[in-house]
Amino acid sequence: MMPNLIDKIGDWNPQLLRELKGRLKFFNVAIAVATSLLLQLVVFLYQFREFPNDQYPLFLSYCHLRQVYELQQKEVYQESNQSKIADLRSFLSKNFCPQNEIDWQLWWRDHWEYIFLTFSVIFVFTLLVAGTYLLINDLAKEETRGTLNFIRLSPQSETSILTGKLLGVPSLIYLVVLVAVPLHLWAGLSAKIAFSYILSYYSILAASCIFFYSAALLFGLVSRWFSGFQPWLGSGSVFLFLFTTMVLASSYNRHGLNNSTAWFRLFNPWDTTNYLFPNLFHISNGSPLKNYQFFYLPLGINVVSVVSFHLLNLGLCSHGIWQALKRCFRNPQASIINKKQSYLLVAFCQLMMWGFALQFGKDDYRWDEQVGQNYILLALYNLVLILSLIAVLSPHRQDVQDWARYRHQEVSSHKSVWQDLIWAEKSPALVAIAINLTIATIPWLVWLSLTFVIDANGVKTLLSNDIDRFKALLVIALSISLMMIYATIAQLILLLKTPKRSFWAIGTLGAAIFLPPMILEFIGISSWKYPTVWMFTTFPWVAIEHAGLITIFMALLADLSVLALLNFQLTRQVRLAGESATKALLARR
Amino acid sequence: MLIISRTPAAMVKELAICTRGLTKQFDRYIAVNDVDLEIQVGEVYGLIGPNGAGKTTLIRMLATAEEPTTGEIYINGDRLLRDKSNPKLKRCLGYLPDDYPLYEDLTVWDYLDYFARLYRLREPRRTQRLHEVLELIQLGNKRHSQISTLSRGMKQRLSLARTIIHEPILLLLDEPVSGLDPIARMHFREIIKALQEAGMTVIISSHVLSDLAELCTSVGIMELGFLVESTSLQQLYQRLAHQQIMLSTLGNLETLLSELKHHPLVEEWEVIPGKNSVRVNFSGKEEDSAELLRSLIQARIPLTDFHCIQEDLESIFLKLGHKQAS
Repeated sequence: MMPNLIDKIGDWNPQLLRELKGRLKFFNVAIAVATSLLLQLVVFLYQFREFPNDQYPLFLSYCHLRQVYELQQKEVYQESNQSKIADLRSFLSKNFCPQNEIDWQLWWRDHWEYIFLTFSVIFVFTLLVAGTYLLINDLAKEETRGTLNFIRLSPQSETSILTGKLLGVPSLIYLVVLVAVPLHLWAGLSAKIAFSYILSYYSILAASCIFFYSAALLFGLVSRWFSGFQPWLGSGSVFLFLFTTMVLASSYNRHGLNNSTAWFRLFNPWDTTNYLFPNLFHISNGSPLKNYQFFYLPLGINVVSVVSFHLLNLGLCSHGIWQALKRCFRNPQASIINKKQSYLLVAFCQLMMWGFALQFGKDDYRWDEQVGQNYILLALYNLVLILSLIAVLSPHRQDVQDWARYRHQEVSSHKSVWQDLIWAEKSPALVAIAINLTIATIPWLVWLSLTFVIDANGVKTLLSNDIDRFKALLVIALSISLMMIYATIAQLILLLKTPKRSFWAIGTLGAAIFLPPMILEFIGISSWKYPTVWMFTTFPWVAIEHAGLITIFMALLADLSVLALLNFQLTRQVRLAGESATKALLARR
Repeated sequence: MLIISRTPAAMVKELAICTRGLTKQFDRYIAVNDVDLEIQVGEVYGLIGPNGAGKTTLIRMLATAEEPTTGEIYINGDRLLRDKSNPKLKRCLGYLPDDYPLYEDLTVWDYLDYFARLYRLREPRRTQRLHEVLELIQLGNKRHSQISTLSRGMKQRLSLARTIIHEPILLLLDEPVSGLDPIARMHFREIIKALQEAGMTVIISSHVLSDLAELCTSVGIMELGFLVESTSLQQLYQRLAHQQIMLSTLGNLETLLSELKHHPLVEEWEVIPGKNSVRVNFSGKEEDSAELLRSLIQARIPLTDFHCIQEDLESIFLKLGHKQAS
């Protein structure tokens, strides 16, 4: 029976069998099972300390007589009779709840609920933190040893190999959790929690595992330069994310999920788990998920919509990560995503961020106000997104050289240069970045053309003032031209011959983005006093309110001139990179 | 379009490997330059060249471990593309790189079983094939040993077993005998001969030219990324190897030399120091060498040794002057 099953697993997924064979050895399995059982015992006994014994106080929650004494206490306090108060206190401290007056049913229900919730939290941390560590560590090891190349050369698909890794590498962690599942399930049912809710929790947990593990695999594949440090970095980041979001989810904040940040919170399992089991964090006003919306769709209205949307979000993002995983696994030198995927990614991010930006609040109904509250966040997220895309999409010297030198020889490419710049793998990424910026700008343009803007004093007004609208348009153009300048600088540095060009690119862009505003702040040149200077920094929108139309226009012209110059230089460099060895020799280069 | 016209399907079909304009460029340095390689089915093809000539890069590209900058590769007439999974073509290829990383935590049997499964071998063929391969590499008695306990030569042979477990029709071996002792090398040569008899096409790059001379049917010489020579070993010997004759005498060496000097087919001679022997470069055929022997005996020279030898591959390679590393 057992050899047959192993054989079937091996035929279905050889990678899974290999991982299981390497890990499920007697000693490892024994330790995993013992750890799990010990943990269950500790959790069970910890709460058992509170087991009501014959000295259980009369005024505590599980004593039936509590209500009687509470009523008495209330009356005595109302009378303000000190001697009676003292008598009552002395009575309560000397007498205990009789065993037959203890609400055992309630005690056990609460006890089981406590066990259930404790394990719900432990499962999340164990699976996500330890699992990501093991996966990143395993991939990093295989990549360092060079064994991954043999697997790449086999006829197995990327999906099969990576699924095998995903299911096999954390197998001992799965074992620890699986051994604890019966107690968890039993505790949940004993605590009168609906089975469908428990299943919903498991589905959220499974989807989170798939998402975080896929991300871990991708991180393991693309982060070769960290050498031995990447498992700690990866799992440490996951732990930090889970911890921070747990703290956020356990404290009620009316606006916590009422802005575009809500999307990032959706990646943690806590909010939805707390929605399913409100006693997890005991938030007095209930889960903030109850009021959250997506493009005004009331998603928090019931469990089905909350869980479905959470699963849909994790599913879509995991699917996206798998597209990148397949590329990186097949060709480790390839960029994480291609240009076409970047367009889809930016469009998807806009959809999600704007979806959560547009929610009805309790007292604000105007959608221009919601955008007004969110515009800094939206701009900031888009800045990070586009900068990440510059890093991911900009090809290095070798790729640009190959593209420029041999493009004309490719049989399949009878495309124009523009088609190549928009879609091709190794072409410079500037046009693609411009397209991505356009995609990110479309929602802003729709908003600008349809509705209101914020005036100089931050007061929300109707868009009666066309100058404001024009100013906003100019600032968007200014931001786009600035991002294009950054992209061109990055591409120029990546074309250098120096071996550490990635670090140079990151350093230069970091300095170009953060140094000017920091210096200006440091020497006290504020955006409201000297808006002209701020127009040339990364954050021109902080000065938009105080700058005149002409100033903004001049700043835009200056930016465009710099961009044109840089692009002229880039075109020259690409042409030089693409010339043949003979041509270079004749030109004595 | 031009490239397609250079590779008519009929021509490509007969070849195990055919490359057209295969180029790999690293920055300004061209590791493999416009290589048109053609290897017939069933050949053992030796790739020779100084370090940095582009042998490893060429083999890596053929194994899809490296992406060509430009050019095309055809395996049995089918185009090999790296960005696709190519499951059918990948089953035809077996690649052994010069370093051969292994999973030290597995046993020999589990390791081979894992790769057999990766290459979709099903039972009962899988177990049968594992036994066959273990017998071939002479590791049958070590099949339950942990890989970490094997010697270097054993690990090498295990890597070869992994390379051939799926019965590829094309083997790519990059410096397979480097770092092995003479006995391990001999074992390895025997295995390769057995594989050739089984009908596999083999490409080997190696610096041990005596091994290649024994194994190969064809050789290619690479220099500065170019394939400067690609021919059958027989043709290479015919074209470039001088016939040599080794002579020893009991009498005076000077008498022998004066006889040799007068013979029109004797081109050069070299006296072997310490022995009463001389090595002669002879441009004649077998009948001519018989005639030389007859004339020497008639001249009453007391010969103790007269045998024809052929110049070895190493001398030919050195004579060709392809010594420059890229």
